[in-house]
Amino acid sequence: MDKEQVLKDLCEAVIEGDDVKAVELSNKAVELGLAPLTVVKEAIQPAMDIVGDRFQEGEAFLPELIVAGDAATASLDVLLEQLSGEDSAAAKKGTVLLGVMFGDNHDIGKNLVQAVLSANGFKVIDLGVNVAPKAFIEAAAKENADIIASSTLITTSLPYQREMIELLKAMGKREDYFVILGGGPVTPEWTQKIGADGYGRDAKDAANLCNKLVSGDYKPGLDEPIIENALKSK
Amino acid sequence: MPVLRPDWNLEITAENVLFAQAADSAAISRRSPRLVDVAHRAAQHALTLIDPVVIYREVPVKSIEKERLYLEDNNSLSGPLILEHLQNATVVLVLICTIGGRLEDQATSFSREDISFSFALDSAGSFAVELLANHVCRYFETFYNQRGMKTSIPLNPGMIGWSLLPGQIEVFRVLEGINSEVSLSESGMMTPRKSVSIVLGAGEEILRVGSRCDYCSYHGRCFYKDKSEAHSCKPITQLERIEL
Repeated sequence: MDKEQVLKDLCEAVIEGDDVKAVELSNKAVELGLAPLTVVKEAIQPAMDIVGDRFQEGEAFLPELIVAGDAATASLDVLLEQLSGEDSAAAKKGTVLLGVMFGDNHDIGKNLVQAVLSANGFKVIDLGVNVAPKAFIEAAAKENADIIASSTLITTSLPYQREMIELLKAMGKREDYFVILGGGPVTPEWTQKIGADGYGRDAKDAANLCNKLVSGDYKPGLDEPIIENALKSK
Repeated sequence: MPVLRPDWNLEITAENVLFAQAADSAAISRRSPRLVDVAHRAAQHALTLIDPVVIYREVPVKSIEKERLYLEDNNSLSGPLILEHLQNATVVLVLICTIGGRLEDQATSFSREDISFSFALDSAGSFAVELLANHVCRYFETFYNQRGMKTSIPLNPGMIGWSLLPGQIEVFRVLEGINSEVSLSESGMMTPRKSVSIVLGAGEEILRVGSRCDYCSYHGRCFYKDKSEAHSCKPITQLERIEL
């Protein structure tokens, strides 16, 4: 199997969500001497773009997006081991720190966001559920995150989202990280009120939002948050 | 008997699960047979985790003032949607359907190791509770029709014209004292999450207008629009013996 074929097959494996095949082909690519960054740029990233585009156009469905994200993540795990720290960072669009806010343990929605962000080429650090505001900030520093993404399904956890932003300001770190929000009781108005940088209604919106934040001229601490709500905009 | 635990011989297929995931099962079957297999496994596993419960109470309507429907038990329902559909009701049936919490607990526990299966299992639960609610509504519609009454469309808190949190509070107040199965969070979320709250109006002069889709915030933008609500399933046998 030549290098070109490996890249083509790997791209297809990710699109099909075949994580076992994706790992095999990633190892094969490394054995053939392909530069990991080349594999990411010529196989993984195009695959994720294709699946993401299909999803946006309604030609692919959420379960397909999820398995593609899983396959991409499995492949990236193999490839990133081969990269230097600098190249590893370059292979990703950005790092998103993701967690369910303190006081809440509902994580299915958060896990969907993780899968979709991975499928869109983001490195996602999942902090899990019931994450305290300070823990978000400490992890963001440790992981050199670009974006802190916090969700909650219950209103009693909402004040902790505000607390996190206030804590960032008090620590002089508000301009270090974008802060984005999601979850059932979270609204664009709340996002604006507490000074977060963006809001997404669902996993697809979260990916759109993160793509905008890392690819635009935005700086953390936006005066007006970016509101992604595919439901409203259609 | 306001709390039922139906003997429900439910069948869930992979197609049902994919439907609940807002996915076109024909397209998925062509492109991703693995996902069909995941859906099938989730459907089979879900069947072992479903504990259907129906909590209901019928209350006569006392009066209507402004935008509020007052009930004989001193509770009330309010909002434009309520008035539009229930103004001619002589009784309202308030109910909650749930499949219990075991399925969603399992879905959560699988979410770390197998997100695809976890999502499919969660979707199987969504399908099951929706199906339960549909069966229950159809049963009561027939029940009232046989007594010479017409019924409104089923109304859910959160539909356009009936705000989620106030609506949920109104439903839970009516069922206070008989409902120990489902709890309500401050944000209006039910636990177990695979639960549906419904109000159905009945009366001789009820005008059944529109469909539930007309009052849904997803109206016109939903995967389920124009798709059949009917799913083949064996009936809930115990519902044949409901008495109000």
